[in-house]
Amino acid sequence: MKGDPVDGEARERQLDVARDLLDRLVVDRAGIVIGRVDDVELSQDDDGTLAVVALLIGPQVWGRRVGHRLGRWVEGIARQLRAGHDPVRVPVADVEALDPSIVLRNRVDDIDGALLAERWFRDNLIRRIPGGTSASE
Amino acid sequence: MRKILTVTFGILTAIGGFIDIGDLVTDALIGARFGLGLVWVTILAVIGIMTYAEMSARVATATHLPAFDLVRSRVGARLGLAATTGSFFATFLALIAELAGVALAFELLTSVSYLLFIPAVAALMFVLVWRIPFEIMERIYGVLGLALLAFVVAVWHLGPDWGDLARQVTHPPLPSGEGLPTYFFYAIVMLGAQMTPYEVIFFSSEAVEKKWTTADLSTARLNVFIGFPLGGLLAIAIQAVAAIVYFPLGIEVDHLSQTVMPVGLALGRVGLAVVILGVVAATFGATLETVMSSGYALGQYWGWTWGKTVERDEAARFNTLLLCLLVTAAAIGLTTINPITITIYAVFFGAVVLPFTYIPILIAANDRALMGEHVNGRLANGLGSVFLFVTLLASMAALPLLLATKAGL
Amino acid sequence: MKTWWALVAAVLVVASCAGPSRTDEDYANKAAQTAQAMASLLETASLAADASAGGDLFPTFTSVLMSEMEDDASGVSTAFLTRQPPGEKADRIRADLAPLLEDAEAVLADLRIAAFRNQPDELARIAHEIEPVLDGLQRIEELTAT
Repeated sequence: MKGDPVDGEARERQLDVARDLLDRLVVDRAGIVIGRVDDVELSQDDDGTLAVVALLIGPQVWGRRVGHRLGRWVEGIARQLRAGHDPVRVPVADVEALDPSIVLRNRVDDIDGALLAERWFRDNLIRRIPGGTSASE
Repeated sequence: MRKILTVTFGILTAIGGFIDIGDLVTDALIGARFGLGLVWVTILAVIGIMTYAEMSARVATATHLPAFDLVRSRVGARLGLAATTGSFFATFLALIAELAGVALAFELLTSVSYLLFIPAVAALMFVLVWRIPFEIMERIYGVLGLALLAFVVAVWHLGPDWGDLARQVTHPPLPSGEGLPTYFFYAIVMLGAQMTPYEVIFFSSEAVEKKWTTADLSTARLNVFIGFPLGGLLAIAIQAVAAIVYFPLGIEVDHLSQTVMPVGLALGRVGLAVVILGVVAATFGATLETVMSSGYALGQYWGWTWGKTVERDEAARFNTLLLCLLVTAAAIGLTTINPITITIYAVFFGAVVLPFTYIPILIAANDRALMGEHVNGRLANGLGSVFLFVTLLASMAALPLLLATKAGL
Repeated sequence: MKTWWALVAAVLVVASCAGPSRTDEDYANKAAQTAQAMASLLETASLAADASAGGDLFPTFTSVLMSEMEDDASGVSTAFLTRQPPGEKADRIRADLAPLLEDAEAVLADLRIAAFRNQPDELARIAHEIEPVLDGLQRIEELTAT
């Protein structure tokens, strides 16, 4: 699968979505791991050229891509657990760099729906265990 | 000076770290049943694990990415999932076995039932993962694991017929009633015990956690190239004492107590106590490594923040997983399931998934764009391919042999 | 893919079923295996008893080991005795083996108790009782081995 412009500027770049984007780690500006690229959102021009519009992250998305019974099962559970939050969607304009991990321009707090599970476990379990809260808070 | 200490500790840790409950059980079992007739497997396993441990360390230092990070991005989501879940499951089985192993060793020292030790050890394990820094833990159980050298001393003291032992190595005995399928079944079991998937996961993840760079590669190599062969020697010693004491009498080894008893016979109470402490240290360290590796495997595949060096509340999912794994492993151990049986299944399953853990490493290590000048040379590729072939062969033959021999009965 | 797994499961189930001994030969084989297993337990216990009496093994260790041997012996014995002897020849084998199994279990029980009570002299004494049982078991092994 090939895609054309990877960011909003006129800079054109051929990339192999499977190799360069999918399943790569995505980190925010501060280096915090958001997740992996579980799928990409594509758009199609009138002449048929595909372009990557956004990166999609999350078990919901992963389940849909992987498919089969396992994928659909994970997708279903993830959708229920996320209760209304859309999958994490990162527009390509926010991508700063691609190698070796995908680095974003913004902070994870600005991304809608990111790290829901991580924060849930942090607040409801880890911070309730003595020693779970780091001094830097 | 500090560098020498680090290197020394690294080697010492690698020696005892090579031995876990899988080795303690299978080496004794096989020594009793086939004498030293499967020593060639140990030699093969040592070379194999050296090859892939070095490779995974090189990949980790060159890319700052650990094994399972690369599995998913190199091999893809679906195949990566198969490799990850396979390795995870094998490592989790090993965790249950190691936990039971620590408990069994304490039982031998106190005669209190091992079942009572399981929750205690699991709880202690969690506290260690939670609070104590890596380095201190590693050094303690690394050095204490050297107590296992009592096996080597015991071989000497038992004063065996060296010629006879040597003959067993070169002309493997097949006692009456044993068939070739059983022999090869146990060869695979031993391979799985000595080349464990979690070894490579732990080694590469640790290199990333400690923020090793290619400058630290020589240290990693020393650990691997000196530590692992010495560990292999230990494994052979465990086989040897069983071969000397049990093999001539046709005794079957089914218990950890039988694994260590020859050391008592040779060296008396002190020797026995020392070797059991060595067992405690080795299985304790292995419990830590298997719980961390299970967490690493899943956390790295799913793209979580993971690691011991990050704050607990910054790696919430990872730490929650570790906690759940310890609780579940303890719960399973408490069902009174036979620890020896779990151990055999753990190493067997490890042998089955081994090639799937190694393939992504070999692929990543060959990627020049990723590795730069540290890409695999001819030797690494040569050995890597040979051992990939060997482990694939073992993996494919494993299930048929299991069925044909009714799990080695 | 699914059929393959079903096949594997079926083979595993069949392989794990300890069916009744259909022939005298099956029974004889099982008897030989049982005798061998019991002999192995007795040999281990013998080694441990002598070493313990000589001060080479500490009491908690010997106690645990003897318990393990006794528990295993109970399992081995039960697994054999609950099988129906299919014929006359099998009856004779059972008649020979059963008392030996009983003796073995009795010796191991005594050893366990002596170990628990930390009585090294008792251990040494009981260890002498192992020899005749071992001889008997070995005879059975030789007679019935194919």
